[in-house]
Amino acid sequence: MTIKKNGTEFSDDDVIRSVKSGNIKNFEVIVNRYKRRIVNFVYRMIGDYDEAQNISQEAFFQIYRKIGKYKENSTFQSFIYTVAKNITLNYLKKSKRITFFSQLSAKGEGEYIPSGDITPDEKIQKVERNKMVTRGLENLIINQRLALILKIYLGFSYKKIAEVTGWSQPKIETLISRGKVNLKNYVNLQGKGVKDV
Amino acid sequence: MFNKRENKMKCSEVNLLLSRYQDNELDNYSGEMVKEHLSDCKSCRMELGELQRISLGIAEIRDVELKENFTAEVMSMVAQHKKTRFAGRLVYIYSFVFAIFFIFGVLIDPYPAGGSSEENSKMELSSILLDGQKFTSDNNHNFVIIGLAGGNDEKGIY
Repeated sequence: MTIKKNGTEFSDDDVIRSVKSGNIKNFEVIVNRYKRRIVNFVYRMIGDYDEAQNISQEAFFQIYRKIGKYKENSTFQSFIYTVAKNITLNYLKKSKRITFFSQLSAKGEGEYIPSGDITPDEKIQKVERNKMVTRGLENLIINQRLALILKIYLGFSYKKIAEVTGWSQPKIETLISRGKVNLKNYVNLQGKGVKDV
Repeated sequence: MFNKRENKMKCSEVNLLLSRYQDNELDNYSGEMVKEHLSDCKSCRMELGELQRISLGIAEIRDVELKENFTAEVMSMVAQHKKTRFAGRLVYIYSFVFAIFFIFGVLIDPYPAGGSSEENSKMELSSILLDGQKFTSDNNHNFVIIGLAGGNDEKGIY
């Protein structure tokens, strides 16, 4: 159940209606449609590849369990990211993680490999900046990290971020603005340190 | 927020709006004012450039690959949940039915102590008050709920 007879895709609401009426097999469509974005959203929040997969699977399971509560007049995207966000924040609260992205380089996952027509020097610079940004994310308070990932990685508008987080518009503006400045200061400080050495 | 009379913004005012400007979250008027300021101000342009580099850094974190059986594992959790829920409902129904029979079995003894079964078979219709409901039994020990117990005058109904 992905394509209609006229060639267009079934909407999320079409699929959800079918799942609600008992065709649980069609929930697979929802999983396949969102799994990549959900896993990578969670991964950017916690920085652990295996846990990101587990948390995302648990998120999809919870989405299925709560599907009866979803009302079609709200957006399904906001609904699923709200569930994924709640599970991720609970995980972070419980585990009180310290390591975060430090694991990335060890596993080679999430490491940025620049492409395109750039010189080797530019390539090194970009890789270095990417590492510093990921480490900088680790140092942000969780809400700033969440706001930046929702905005920059998922490309959500402030209104949609409000739907997912329940935050007010001014709070979102402040978190994103301060998050960017803190990240910028971190990268500049680290960059300076590297140059000085 | 900014000096409308001069129709120009100061760097400090622009700095407060720069993040929202970058995110396309300013109204048209404020957006135009920031844009105008940026065209004349090198330091604010540099500040915006830094914010853009930071955003690019976040966007460029490479996506991770999903484990091979990701979807299959989720669907197995979903199927398992459906089975468990069905089993749970069955247990609930059986428990309820068992409880009903148990209550009747304990509270309505067909062979009360001191009486023979023959005497019992001659028992007249009896009424039992239980949890605000009235039950009645006939000679064959079949029990029927006949309605909520009201006052004494209901006795006449039976």
